[in-house]
Amino acid sequence: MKKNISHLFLITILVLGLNSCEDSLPDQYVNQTIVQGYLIVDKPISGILVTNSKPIFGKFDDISSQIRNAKVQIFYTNSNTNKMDTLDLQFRSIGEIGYCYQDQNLKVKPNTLYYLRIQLNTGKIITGQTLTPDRFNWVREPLDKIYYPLDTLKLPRISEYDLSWTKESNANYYLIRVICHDTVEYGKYLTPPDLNDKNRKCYNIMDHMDENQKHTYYKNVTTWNLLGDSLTPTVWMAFKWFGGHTVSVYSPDQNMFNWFKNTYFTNSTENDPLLSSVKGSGAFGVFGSASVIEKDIFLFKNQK
Amino acid sequence: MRKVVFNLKNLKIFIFLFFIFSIIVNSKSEIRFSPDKAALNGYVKDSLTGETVVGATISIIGTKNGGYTNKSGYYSIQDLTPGKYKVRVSMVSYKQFEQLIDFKMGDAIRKDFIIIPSQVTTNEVNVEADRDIETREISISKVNIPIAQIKEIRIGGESDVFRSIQMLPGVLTSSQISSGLYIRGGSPDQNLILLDGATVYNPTHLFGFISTFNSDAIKDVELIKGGYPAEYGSRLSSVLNITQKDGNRNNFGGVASVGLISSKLSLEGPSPVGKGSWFAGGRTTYFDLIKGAIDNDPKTPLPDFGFYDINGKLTQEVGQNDKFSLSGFLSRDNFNYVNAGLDLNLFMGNKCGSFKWTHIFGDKFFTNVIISGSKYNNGMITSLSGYNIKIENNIFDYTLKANSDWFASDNLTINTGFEMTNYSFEYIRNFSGDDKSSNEGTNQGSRVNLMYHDWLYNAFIQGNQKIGDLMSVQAGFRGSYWTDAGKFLIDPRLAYRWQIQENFAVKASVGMFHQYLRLAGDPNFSLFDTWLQTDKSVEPSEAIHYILSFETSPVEDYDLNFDLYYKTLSNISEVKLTATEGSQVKDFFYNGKGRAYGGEIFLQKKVGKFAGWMGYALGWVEAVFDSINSGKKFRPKYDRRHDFKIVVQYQFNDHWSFGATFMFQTGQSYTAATSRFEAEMPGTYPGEGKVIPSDKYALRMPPSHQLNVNANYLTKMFGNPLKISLDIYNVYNRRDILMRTYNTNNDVTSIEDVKLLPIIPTFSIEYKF
Repeated sequence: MKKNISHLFLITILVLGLNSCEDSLPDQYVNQTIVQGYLIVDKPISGILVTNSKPIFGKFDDISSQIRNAKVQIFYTNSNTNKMDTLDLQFRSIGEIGYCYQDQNLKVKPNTLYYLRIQLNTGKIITGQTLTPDRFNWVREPLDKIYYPLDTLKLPRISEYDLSWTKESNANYYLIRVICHDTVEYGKYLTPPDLNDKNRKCYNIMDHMDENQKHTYYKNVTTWNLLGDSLTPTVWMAFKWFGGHTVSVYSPDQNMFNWFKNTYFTNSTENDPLLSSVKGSGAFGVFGSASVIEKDIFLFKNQK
Repeated sequence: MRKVVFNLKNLKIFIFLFFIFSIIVNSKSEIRFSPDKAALNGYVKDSLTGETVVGATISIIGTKNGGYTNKSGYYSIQDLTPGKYKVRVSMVSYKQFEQLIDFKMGDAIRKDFIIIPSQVTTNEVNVEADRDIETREISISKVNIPIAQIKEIRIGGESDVFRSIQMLPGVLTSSQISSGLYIRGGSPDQNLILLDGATVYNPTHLFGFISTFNSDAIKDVELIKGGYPAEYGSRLSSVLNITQKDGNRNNFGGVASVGLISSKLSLEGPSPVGKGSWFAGGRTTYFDLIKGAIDNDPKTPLPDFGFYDINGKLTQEVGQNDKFSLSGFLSRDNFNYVNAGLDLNLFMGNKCGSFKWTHIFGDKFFTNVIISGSKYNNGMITSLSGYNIKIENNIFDYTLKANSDWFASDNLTINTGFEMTNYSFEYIRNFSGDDKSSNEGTNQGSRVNLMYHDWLYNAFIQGNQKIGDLMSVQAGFRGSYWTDAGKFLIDPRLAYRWQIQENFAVKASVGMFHQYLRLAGDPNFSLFDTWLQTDKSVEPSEAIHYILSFETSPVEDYDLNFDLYYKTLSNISEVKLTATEGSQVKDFFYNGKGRAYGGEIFLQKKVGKFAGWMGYALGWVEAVFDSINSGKKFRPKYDRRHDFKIVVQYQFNDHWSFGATFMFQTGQSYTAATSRFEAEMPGTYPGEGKVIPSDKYALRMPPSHQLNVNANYLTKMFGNPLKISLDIYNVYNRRDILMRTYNTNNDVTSIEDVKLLPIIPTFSIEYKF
């Protein structure tokens, strides 16, 4: 009996020893305020998001995270009057969600310093500032119609689809965004139309992912990528579906570039607070700006 | 971009210093031993292979005189009172050798001893080391693992030096698939790894899974976990000194083996002109062959992957006092994946070569002159439908070093040396999309080609003085000068040993250490290891070690060590993972400080049918960086509080042997999250799910533990030894966690653990001829 007890004791100690070092998962929720706003040169001021972070466990609800009653203001020096203008923004819940300036005719100016000030109803103040980049232009804009390569294993470079744009002297990186406008009913776009072919997904390396990864990959119609120069071939991996797209090249300020890195260069647990460009207790995020050039294109299935 | 050219003025200073050392030492060496005394010196060699034996003890029975062989297998004993003495030579895994020698007044006898490996007999060998001799060997925190034991610690059927070292207490890893060594709170870049005197920068294969050192090509492995002497420098934490085999001077022979991961072949034999030997060994994977047999779907191609390493050495004695050796080492990993417009190539390699001249001046002065070169290269070349990305890191170093052991008297040994190294660090990065090469000095955001040229000068002197019969002190300093940073630093080192009782010694050490190189890499995979030097934008890293050690032998053949250590670290670095631009070292690293402290118990039995060790380490590591964790103190990922390891090997009979290793460690740290949000870019909906981290590495994962066993059957084929081994890795299928992440792809956040390898049984065959 004594022997059994001592064995049981030893086994208990062993089990405790093997398991005692693990920490339980934290369930403490620490609220943070996240600001995400971009001023795009020659575009109206809109889409500035002020949100609460949500608890880790439980269903994430984008809508309920939005803070809709903050006082959001933008200041800048009006070059016509040489005085500081104040713009009071309003929350808009339809279209491009977020805080916007009611007068959509007022466009963001290039090479201008803008200040952001947000006051929450708790009294918390969040600030940021951005210097908008200069305008730039296409040197070789995307063709209206491009055709996916027949050789879907090699997906080679097709030089006639190369893009280029004017390079600003202080711009080291550009961002390229590709938005797909329609992800269904490809067949009707074929020439001649083939209504039996509704497969709009491009052939690419993602075909070999498991279903969960595919779900993640295909849930967003927009892809962002980093470009290191003012010339790029058409990289076929940027497309997920055939059909109509808008291709945009952004020349970002450092704030927007940092937030891009925070969004796509780090994994979910490595949100880097040093890449934030807003100031305020318990707040982080981005107040950045960019110049942009855009072109609508149509990507045909590999039929030529 | 700074470009530094050869600095003649500084070189002159160092050459002057070295000559001062040399003149002092040489002038003293002319002072012969007392004419009424005698002396003994020479090499200790293996009877089968003729190779010199490192670390053998030579005792003059009936006196307190004696010594031990250095890294070249040389010993020198001074101040012997004339008379007839029995000289005993002892070494682990060798039969004890004794010879009666008549020492006459004024004799300086040159005697090379030949000792017989114990494997050739079935009798258990009893090593009787003379404690008087051991008092001279301060050797704090130094561990020697016999090569025979290293060969029995395998993973995937592959014996591995680093895997063996990882089974020592106080030596941690970031995971079970990483061979990076975290020693007493130091990161892998803080370990000086030397192969025949040449620096090896990233000695790993398979993304860090195993080391590049082929155990068939190695003669001696010595690890100094801290407080290392002045002859070593340029790293903060430890020294791993590996000596390649010289080769068999008596007979031609070889070993061939086949395992799951790779196959090996080594050949060795005597020099055709006599008094020398050669060794050549190689190892390669055969994944390409396996792939060829199973890969038939071009839509789902398997990657091409392979590695190889080659070792070679030529050794030649000329006369009795000169020995020349030429050794080389080459390793290469290559990974290539081509599919759907993606062409990804990852590569990594080391090339090292050294030429060594050993000369014995009289009976008191032993010198080595080494000319060595090392090249490390790693990188990635990727093409996405013609958009090219390239990252490449190259280090070239060429070193001339000379050191000498002056056996001034039976109580005093002085070591001096100097070293000058020319470094070239090259970092090429091209994110611009084109594949044009850029000029040296280019730094235009996406296109970077940085080349740093630098000279490092080191000189050291250290003395080992025996004080009375029970104490010895080792004191020294190392001076170093980096031309580019313009820093001249002195590292003092002091160690002490007190043999309190016949069977119990206390040792203590304190020393300062500096490091100029910084490593930017991922702790989990070593493929992207990028080395940069310290420049004027940051201070060199500095550490101070304090070590107290107790050494005893509670039972015959068992050594028990208990070490306490405290280490401060300043100007240490953590890489900025999101840095995309910069021209200075500070642009790519955060700078901080830290400390590590703890204790280790190590019980080792090196000889006999039952051999192995058991160790436990309790340690703390802390770091503070202004830019990390809001400036608050945090423990690094690899900090593990408890670390318990057992290695046992049992020779059942002439045919069968068995082995097992077991380790238990506190789980590694990870960063948890306190809330979630969606990161948005213009036009992106939904955004990318991100979590907001809690304090860095504040939580621990479950503990790691693993049992590996092996059985070996030794038989003969065509009259030669054939060994068949069965290894079972991770016997009870414990799936430890490599990393823990939050999956925010869905509305409900889930925690995902990336788990490590399951149980893996493997066979391997080794044939000696």
